[in-house]
Amino acid sequence: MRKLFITSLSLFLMQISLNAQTKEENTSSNTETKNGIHAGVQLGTLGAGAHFVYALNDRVHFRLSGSYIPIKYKSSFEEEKNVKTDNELQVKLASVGLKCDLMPSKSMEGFRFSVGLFYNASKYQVHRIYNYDNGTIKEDLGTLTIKANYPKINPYLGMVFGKYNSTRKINLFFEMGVLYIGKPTIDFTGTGRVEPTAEQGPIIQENMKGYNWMPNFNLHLNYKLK
Amino acid sequence: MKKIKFLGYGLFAFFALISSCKKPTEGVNTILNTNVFNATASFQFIDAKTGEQIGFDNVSEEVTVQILGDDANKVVDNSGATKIKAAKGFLSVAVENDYTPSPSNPIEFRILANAKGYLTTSVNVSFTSDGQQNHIVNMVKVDDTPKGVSAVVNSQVTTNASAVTQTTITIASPSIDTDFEPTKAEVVIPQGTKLTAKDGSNVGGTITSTLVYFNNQDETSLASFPGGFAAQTITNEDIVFKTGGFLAMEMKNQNGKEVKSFGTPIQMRMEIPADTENENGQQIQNGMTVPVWSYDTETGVWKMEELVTITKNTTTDKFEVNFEMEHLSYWNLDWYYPGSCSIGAKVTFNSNITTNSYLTAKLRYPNGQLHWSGGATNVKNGTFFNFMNAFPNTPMLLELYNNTGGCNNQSTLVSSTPISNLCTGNYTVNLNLTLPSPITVNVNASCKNKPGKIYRPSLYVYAKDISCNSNYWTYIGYMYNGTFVTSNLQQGKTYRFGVYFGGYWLEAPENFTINKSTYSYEQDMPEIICSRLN
Repeated sequence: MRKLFITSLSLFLMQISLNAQTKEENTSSNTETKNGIHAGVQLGTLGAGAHFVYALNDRVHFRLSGSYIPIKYKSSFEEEKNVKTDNELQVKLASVGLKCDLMPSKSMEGFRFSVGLFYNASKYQVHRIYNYDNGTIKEDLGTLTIKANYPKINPYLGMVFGKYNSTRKINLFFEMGVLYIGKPTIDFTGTGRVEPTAEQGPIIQENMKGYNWMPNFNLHLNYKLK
Repeated sequence: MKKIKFLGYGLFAFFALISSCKKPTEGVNTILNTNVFNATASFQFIDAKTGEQIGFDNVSEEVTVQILGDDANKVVDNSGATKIKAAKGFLSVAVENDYTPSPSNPIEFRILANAKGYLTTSVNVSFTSDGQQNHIVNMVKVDDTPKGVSAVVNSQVTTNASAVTQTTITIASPSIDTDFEPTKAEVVIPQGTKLTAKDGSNVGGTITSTLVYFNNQDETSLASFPGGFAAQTITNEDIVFKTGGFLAMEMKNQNGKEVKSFGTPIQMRMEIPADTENENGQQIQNGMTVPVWSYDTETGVWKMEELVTITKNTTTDKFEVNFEMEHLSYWNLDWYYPGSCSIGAKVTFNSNITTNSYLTAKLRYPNGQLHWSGGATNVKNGTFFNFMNAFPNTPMLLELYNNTGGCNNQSTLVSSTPISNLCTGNYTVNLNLTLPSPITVNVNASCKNKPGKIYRPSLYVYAKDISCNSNYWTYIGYMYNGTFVTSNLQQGKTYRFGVYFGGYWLEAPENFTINKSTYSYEQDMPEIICSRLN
């Protein structure tokens, strides 16, 4: 989970520079339309995806977006003398969100609050294989698998930076927010001699009770359809 | 500028949320089940007279073991070590998991046990499936024999430089402590007998002879017969003995060199109790014959030497046999049942016991003669076992004893079931017992040099009632993955627990007075054990 947040931070820093570019574009357009329909692509901490926007008026926009990204990370290390572990982190982020972007006032042009709901089908799993090898004796000690299962419907709160409903056909906007993903239920299983370790699923579940916010940093490339 | 501010506030809130999270695996230990092996056997080597563990208090009497037989190379101790040693009269061995025992491919081996001052004995072990076996091995102390066994140590045999005896010496077993007809055995070594070792070299000097006689009546004698009564012959047949008596003789000179054969035969006379019955249940009489068998302790096989005739000695008014020996070994008067079945009849327990509880099983002939005394038998409702290396077509009696150990190592008969054929059929033993309430014990073991790692032991567990300073260790159950449940402990009594692991005997650091139904404790293991765990 930590690695996920580090990844998020990296993406965020990357987006800071992109945001500067967006700012320049925003200042260059100062005429907004009443309503409109937009489509675009996005890249961020929830993965890569697409979005559709319906601008009801200047201040209220509805946005439907979907993202997906599979992450696989493998590592091996010696847990102790003669005991080697092969580890694999598998995260599949998959979500669809329906959001309402609200401009607080006309004086805050280029900034919107965003509220909405996500259908979050993301999956999180860590798999570890234990092997003993002292040079003469090799033994498969078994495997451990931790799966974190979160509620599928997540409320969302965020902020949008950029005048994406401007008269320009193509523009960029940046989004930052969090999904409340709820408390996870942990599915901890094991095989072989390490199998009893899996009895400690409730400890992990207790430790992860604070892991209930999912960051959402997204850069959107937007195209005005009409 | 406003956007930058919002971004800053947002990030602050976000990282404030994240920083409140714990590491997911904080407080999680790697827990290892130490149940590595699927087929295991435990052994208690006990003094046949006292019932106490051999070598427990006297290190010089420690039992040494050898694993023999075709499958000996498939056997390790319960830590996986191939160098196997007993500890304080306990041993636990396992079949390596590369081998899976089955009825068509049984894993068979023999454990040869020696202890200073005790007669060498052996126990045959056969696995036809995975599982646990518990064996009690009774050993006879030569200078403190149990009922039905008598022994004498004689140092009167002397030889000249050519290892030839100088006078005729008669060595007779002393009067026997028995609940039945007193009998004895006698060996005559004539003057001029040449004594040679296994390699044919001379064994000269002052010879110490140890003669041990076992009658076929007393239970302690029958339970101590070296090798038991399921036998393998030199022609590779599996047979079952019904004994008329047993004689073991060892001779060695002052340098410890053992006599194995004689230039000319020596004479042996062995009395047989009049109540003895042959394999067909016929009482012995003048003119009846009985085979004489010799036993090779190195190969573990029996050889029929000759058929001898039983005669009634009018002087002593005893039945006896007389024969000659050319070599020293164990000598056994045995009728036999040929073609034993490796897996026999099935016995299922229909009991009111819902947790693992252990009774001692014994198998008797209709006349009461003991054939087999098993180790601890689980009588939990629905459990079953099959007779192994049994013989067909002879009615037998299966008895179950509640052996609670305790102050007097007491044992109470709780069930007696007729078995019409040991080789075929299904039998149900109905039991309605009042046993102590089940006690659950949970153990987490750890090593100081392996932090974050917990071991869940899988071991045979023994207990000793110390409320009355008992010296008897009783098997109370197999701990699997750190947990076992037993009904062999009584509320209010204080016990000491112990286990065998990898050549070491380990006792719990404290005694437990049973006053609740569940015990959980953490055990720091000694470095010598930790170094053998992965």
